[in-house]
Amino acid sequence: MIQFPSMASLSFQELSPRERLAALFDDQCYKEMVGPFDRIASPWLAQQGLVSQSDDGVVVVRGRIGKMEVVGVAIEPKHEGGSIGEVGGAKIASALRWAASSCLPGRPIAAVLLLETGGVRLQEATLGLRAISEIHTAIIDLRKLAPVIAVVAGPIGCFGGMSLAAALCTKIIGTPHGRLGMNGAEVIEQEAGPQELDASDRDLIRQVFGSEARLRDGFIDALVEDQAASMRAAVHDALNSTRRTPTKLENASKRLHDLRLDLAAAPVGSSHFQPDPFGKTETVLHRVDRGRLWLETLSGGKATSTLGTQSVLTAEVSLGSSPADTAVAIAISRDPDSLLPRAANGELGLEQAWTLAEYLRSFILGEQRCVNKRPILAIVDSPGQAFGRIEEERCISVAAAAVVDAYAAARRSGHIVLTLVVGKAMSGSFLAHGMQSDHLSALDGEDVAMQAMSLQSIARITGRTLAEVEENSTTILPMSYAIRDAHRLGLVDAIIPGIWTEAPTEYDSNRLRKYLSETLASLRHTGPPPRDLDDNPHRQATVAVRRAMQEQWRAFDEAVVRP
Amino acid sequence: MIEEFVFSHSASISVTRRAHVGVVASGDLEILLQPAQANASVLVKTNVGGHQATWRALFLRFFERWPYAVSIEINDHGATPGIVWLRLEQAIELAQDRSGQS
Repeated sequence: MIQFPSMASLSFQELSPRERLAALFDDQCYKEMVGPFDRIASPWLAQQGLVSQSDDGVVVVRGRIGKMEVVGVAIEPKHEGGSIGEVGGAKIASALRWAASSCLPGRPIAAVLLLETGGVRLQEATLGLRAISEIHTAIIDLRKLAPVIAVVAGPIGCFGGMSLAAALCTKIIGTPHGRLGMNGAEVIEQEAGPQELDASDRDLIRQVFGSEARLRDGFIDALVEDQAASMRAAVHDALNSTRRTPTKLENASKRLHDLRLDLAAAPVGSSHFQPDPFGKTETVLHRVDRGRLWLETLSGGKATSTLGTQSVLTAEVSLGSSPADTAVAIAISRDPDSLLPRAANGELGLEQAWTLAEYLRSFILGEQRCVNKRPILAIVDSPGQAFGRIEEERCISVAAAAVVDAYAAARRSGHIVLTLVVGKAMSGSFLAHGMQSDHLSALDGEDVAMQAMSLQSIARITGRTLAEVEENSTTILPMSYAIRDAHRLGLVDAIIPGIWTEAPTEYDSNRLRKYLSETLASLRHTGPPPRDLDDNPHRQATVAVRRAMQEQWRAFDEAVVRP
Repeated sequence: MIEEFVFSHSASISVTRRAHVGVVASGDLEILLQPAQANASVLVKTNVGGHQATWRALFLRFFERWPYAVSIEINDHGATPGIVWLRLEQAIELAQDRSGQS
């Protein structure tokens, strides 16, 4: 093997994932958990003609950095674009959960996440989405006990649902090569046309997503030169930070206010926006605005817009006899006059995300002294997050992460969160509004769907033809858009059959409310049932990862006596 | 589609430890190497089919030159023979190195 004179002077982002971790951890005192020789590879790639890697492109180690016990995660950007699939995602979530459950008073186990990732692996789409949601929850839970540090070092950057994961961390460290954003330039170009964002304009991409811009706007916390020694020092510093809740997720009302002020001063002109560049809106949207429809059907009244945002609707839905059983129901709806045109069709945009975060925070605060906390019902029909340049400039990742954080805070403070999917449960929008819940149910229907990205974008990003992607979506379970397939994968707790999605009768409405009431009562009574995957034949890879992580975590504890 | 095949060759020199090198990424491959008894065996999975003869010629020459008793798994993403040879040498070297990490 080539012996380098000194690792300290090397470019950090050019190191392999294991070398990066070696550069950060104390010499010889760390151990890889669920490594390549455990041979838990992706079961889904081979079905699509792709060779899988024996560690699924994710390296997890346990050891020390300075005085602190740390679990380290590094993603291999070269394998399938650093994407998160079932196995890699389960490794990260499970390691973070073990870290949280192993923290002792005065002896925290921190986490360092080296995120070189495009987000959800589109060949394992719905499973990747769930895995990322579980990573979000695990970061929030660990962050209460110990610092969780994200590093975005290389030009692959940190995108998609994993950019929300970064935003949920205590601190984000970047290098000048790093990029952070929700939708990559190519996806925006695909979804919104090149006049929105030209994916070939490298300078523009750096100005929008690059670490310097992110640091200037407070979306990352530190910028260090791309050198192993500097990165180690920066990580060391960040691990000693006393404040664990990231400030970037706070002050939602101020963010909303500033956004409106800025847009009032410089409205987004029609020249900027072509509503339907590829004439495909019709295929993307349902005929009816189902968020509003079901909110009003279940509440029996009018839905009201929230904090001046026309497309964030709320209503009260009675799910029992006591006042504490009256759920606040929330839906993202359509607004043709949206401040930002890219969020006109029910997408989660900047305005919607900061509104949701602020609304949930004040709801939690208002109920602070209540013994019996009211439930929250998230009604989901959204074609995804808003794909746009302004959205990325103002870091929609952070806005969406603020929603994830607020839902998690609601659950932690005792509110039961129920999710009801009535239409499209897509991508980053669903990660923020819907996936952080105690119970996830969906209406049954061919047009009720869960996915990570549109077919067109999956085709472009994975370099396959639309026909191939369509074919896969009918034969590969996690590539399917059908909600029944998501249920078979254990991603949806219940499917409610026999209800018309766009023309509910009073009988339907009563039946649905009864179902939700019973679910609420049982959750209150027994707590959320464990989402047990042991018997699910489609999820044995996740089960294998969890078992291996548990065994190796315990073996490490036995081998290394903690001081 | 993925092509899968095995190769084996007599070998005599033993190695002390297992080794993992490379990555399943365009033009590269991943190798998992473990010590074995008196034989070298290779299991290849590749997404570039139709080149078995080249692989076999390469392995034949490699193990005639380096008769290490090892069990190797290769996950290939279109590596050229030059890269394959380098990765094999790298894995063998790591498998003998007592100071490195497994």
